[in-house]
Amino acid sequence: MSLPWNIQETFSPEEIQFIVENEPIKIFPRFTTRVSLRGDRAKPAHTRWKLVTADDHPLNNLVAIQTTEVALWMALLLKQQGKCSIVAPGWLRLSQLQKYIDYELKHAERFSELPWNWLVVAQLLFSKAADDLHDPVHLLRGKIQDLREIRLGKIGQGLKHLNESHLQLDNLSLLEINELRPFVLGVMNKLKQVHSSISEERGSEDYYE
Amino acid sequence: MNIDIDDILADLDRDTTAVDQTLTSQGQNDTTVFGSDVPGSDKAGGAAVSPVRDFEALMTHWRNERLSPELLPYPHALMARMLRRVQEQLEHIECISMGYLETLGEEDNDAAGDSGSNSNVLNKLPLLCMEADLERLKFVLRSYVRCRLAKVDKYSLYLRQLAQDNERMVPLSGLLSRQELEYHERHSAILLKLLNNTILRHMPPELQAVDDNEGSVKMVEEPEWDRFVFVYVRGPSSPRDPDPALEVGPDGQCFYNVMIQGLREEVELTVGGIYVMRYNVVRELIMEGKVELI
Repeated sequence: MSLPWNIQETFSPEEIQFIVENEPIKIFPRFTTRVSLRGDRAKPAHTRWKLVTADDHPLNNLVAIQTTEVALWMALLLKQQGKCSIVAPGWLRLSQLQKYIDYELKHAERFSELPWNWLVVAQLLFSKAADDLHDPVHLLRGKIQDLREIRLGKIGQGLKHLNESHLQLDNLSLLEINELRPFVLGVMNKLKQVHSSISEERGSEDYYE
Repeated sequence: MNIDIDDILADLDRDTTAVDQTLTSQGQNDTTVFGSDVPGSDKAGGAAVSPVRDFEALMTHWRNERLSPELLPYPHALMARMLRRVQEQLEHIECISMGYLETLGEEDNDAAGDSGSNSNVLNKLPLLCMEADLERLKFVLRSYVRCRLAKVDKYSLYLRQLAQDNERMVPLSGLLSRQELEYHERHSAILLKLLNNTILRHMPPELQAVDDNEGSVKMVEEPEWDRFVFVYVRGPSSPRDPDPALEVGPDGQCFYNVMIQGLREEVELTVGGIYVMRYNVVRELIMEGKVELI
């Protein structure tokens, strides 16, 4: 088969990570690529950047210790080479996460407005750029886990509202949607079948009467 | 000036270098699989579009294709541009990796005592990133094409039926790429021959049809139009053009009104919201790019 059955009509977690890695993030580069105006050599000392999936302009104009926005995968790659440090996003600090947790606990019926990729970004930064975070990584990990569990609990509660018509799920992140997908779609498709067979039956009863 | 000479040298050397051969042959493999048709056919539109936009569009196409029950129209111009870019980038990387060796030699000759290892890393770094970048693009392209092929297989009979149906708005050649069309025709011919030779031949003539839709159960498998999908309401592509379908609620929120046919129920799709919906309800909006599958 050209596409394995287990990723038909859904994504694998790795593919979700791939999608999220295209998002921009800020970095502090530790090297300069901007060509100085003096230009005493015909050939620049380093290779020029030319990319096909991301904007190469910022990368050709990097100045050390000046924040630049690049794609997350690029940031992680540079980080791995020790060429930059990553500016952790504003929501990824203890005080901010605590606010989200409070919001989640206060409003049982809705989800807080975390970024749509929070789980993956947190996971990636914890494992690859732990030294660039604002707070100690084990505490942040704890908060993220708390948030995740609260939200999972809510999702579990919300499952009893599944119906055959539609469902609104604002502020759910991509990874959460992906793990929810098989169950929710399966149940809703079955409900739809049950519903349509009932209405057909009713229709035929009316006909006979 | 120098770069031009490097390009020419790289072109001349292409056939003699082992590394290059693997790269080029790989490139050719890719193009046969993806089927890059007529490079440069889209030169006219090429100037206005940026690679970044194109990549975003490709990601959207990929995600929609993976999650939708039907086979979506093939983006001919976009794919042609993408495949041409892969080819160009492959060649560009080859050139750099050769020119890079040359630069190293110069650096060593100059040997001005300036941190040689540092500039070495700075030279390698863009190359490393560019290769990663290219691999990412190739992954999406591959996954996209494979997903489409899976659907071509699945809806083989349905597509045949579509091809016979003359009243359709979009011809089959708009839905499929040239290579996909050829694959589809040959694959379904082989499949039908197999079915015929193994089973159908031995059946009574009235039971020999494989595409009989008259009975209680349809034999041609159609896409499941009312299957549920997760959608994200993106809104109109640019905020400046007014969208007639978009309505503004009393609280200033923009939404699309859609109708669920089976239930005779109206639903408001708020811009920025995430919904689980039947595919046929939002199909029009997906085609127009106002709603994305997630």
